[in-house]
Amino acid sequence: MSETEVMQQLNEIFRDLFELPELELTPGMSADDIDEWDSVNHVMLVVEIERQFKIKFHTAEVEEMKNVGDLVRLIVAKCEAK
Amino acid sequence: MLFNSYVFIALFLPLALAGFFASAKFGRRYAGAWLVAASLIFYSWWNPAFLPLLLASILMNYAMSELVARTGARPALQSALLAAAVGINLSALFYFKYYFEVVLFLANRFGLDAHADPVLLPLGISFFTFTQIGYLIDVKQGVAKDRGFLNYVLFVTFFPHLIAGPILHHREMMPQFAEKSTYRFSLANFTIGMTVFVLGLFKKTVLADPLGGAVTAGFAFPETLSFFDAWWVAIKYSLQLYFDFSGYSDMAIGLAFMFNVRFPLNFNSPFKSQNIIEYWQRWHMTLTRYLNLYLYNPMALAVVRWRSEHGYGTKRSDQKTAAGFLSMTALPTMLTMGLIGLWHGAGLQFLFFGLLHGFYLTFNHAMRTFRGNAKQAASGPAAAIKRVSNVAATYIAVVVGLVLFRSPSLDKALSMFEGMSGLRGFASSVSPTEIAWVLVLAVLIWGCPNVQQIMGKCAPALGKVEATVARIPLLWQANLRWACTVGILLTVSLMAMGGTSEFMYFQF
Repeated sequence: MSETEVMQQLNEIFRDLFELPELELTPGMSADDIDEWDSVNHVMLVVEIERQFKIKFHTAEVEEMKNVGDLVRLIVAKCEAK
Repeated sequence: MLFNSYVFIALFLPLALAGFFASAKFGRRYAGAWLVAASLIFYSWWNPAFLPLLLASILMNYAMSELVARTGARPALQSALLAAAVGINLSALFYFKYYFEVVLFLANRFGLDAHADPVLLPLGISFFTFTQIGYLIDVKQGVAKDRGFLNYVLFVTFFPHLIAGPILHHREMMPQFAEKSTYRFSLANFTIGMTVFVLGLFKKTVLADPLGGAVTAGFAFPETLSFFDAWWVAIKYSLQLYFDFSGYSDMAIGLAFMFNVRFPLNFNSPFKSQNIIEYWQRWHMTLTRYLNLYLYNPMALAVVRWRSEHGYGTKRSDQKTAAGFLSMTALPTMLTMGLIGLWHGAGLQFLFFGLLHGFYLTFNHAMRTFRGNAKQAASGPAAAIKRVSNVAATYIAVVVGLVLFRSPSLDKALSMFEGMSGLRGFASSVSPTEIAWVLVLAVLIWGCPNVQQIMGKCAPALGKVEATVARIPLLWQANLRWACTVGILLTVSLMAMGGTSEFMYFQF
């Protein structure tokens, strides 16, 4: 899966989960930029990503994923390692 | 040794810096060893009796972490080792911080025939226990890359954070100690670090300390306070704690930067928060981060994964059901915040402080979940009024919580609340000069950029600082005007530094 594909699918997950239908993700975005992206929703986000991409994250990785660019890279790496 | 003492500023700091950069000429190991030695002296200054405890803790944790790292092929053994190591850390913490209080509590409430002598709390034990447990867990999960002994000891003992944080993560610290440029003196970093240190010192000695007397008296005898007087004491305490702890954090960041090390941001104008969720993202940020990482996330992940695997939904719509909200949001939040409360101390007042904030946060999340995302106008007077009232409501909620946090016991806190609710009348003994002073402090908190914003691009901390103001009027620059300003602030701070005044977070 390429970064662009991951990004597209991720955008859908974000729009759905945060109920922001017009959201356009960019790699530079982080949890600071989206009010709804707090600790509670972050966990929902992580599990939804795990479900849709069929991957699993370490607990230690979860806190590093609060930035879209890092998140995409981590998903791509996990999908390749599958 | 206190950051705000003459011996620290005039003797310890210059020697620590000079020795560090001079010995670096012979090799990084010497500089590292020098810094470890200086940090241990710094720690022992207060009470040398606890030095062996700190050393034993470091050696035990490092040895256990190496064992954990080498048993990756045998997961059961590895998990057992990790559990043992975490257990030893928590037992020591429990003994020094909670044992006496718990025995006393059981003896008083249930007539249990038990006796314990009060134990002196070793300085910084919660902080060095937490950082090291985090390291152990990360070694187990295979994400701790740099495992060198000297870098580890430096990471744990480095004096600017040893006693009251910020709570560091090895991943952001150990690479910095492995970096060559850390060991070369930088005049620019020294100047910036010194500026941040002086701003923090000023907050501590000039702004925070003078509030202490009235606050201590008020919380010791809340039984006589009327509505206005009780609120006044509570508000003054919130200001004292704010300037004390943010001043401490600035000083820690400034000191570290003189050694070319960047600490994570610990404070980001928390009283400007518009809700409690935001407040915890801006107050004692490294504690919030730590507990998210090692407590909240694992709990919430376990619940959400369990639901996902057992056919219960984990979507936004499922979060809106009572069971979904209670299990995925309320439960992990209340548990985490209850433990945050107890982390601060053994008293019931700390437990209730945590639970109150747990309730605030759950309520805040419920508003977000059930009411949806309220789209509000970004500008105009209506939006401004809404912002101001949000900030005010959040601040008042925080002040109420801080009454529990500061009170010597639950009974005293309840007595304070009685006064604050108006049950003891509305007579006021607040003087106009006091009001004027508190207004000055309020302008500094709500009307000015914070230290990180003032430092602009030079900001020596890790993490993003929001630029709420496009052009900060007080932006720091390396020029004569700022040199004079910092010089004046330093002089005033030094003159105000009479006696010793510990930082409030030393007790944790």
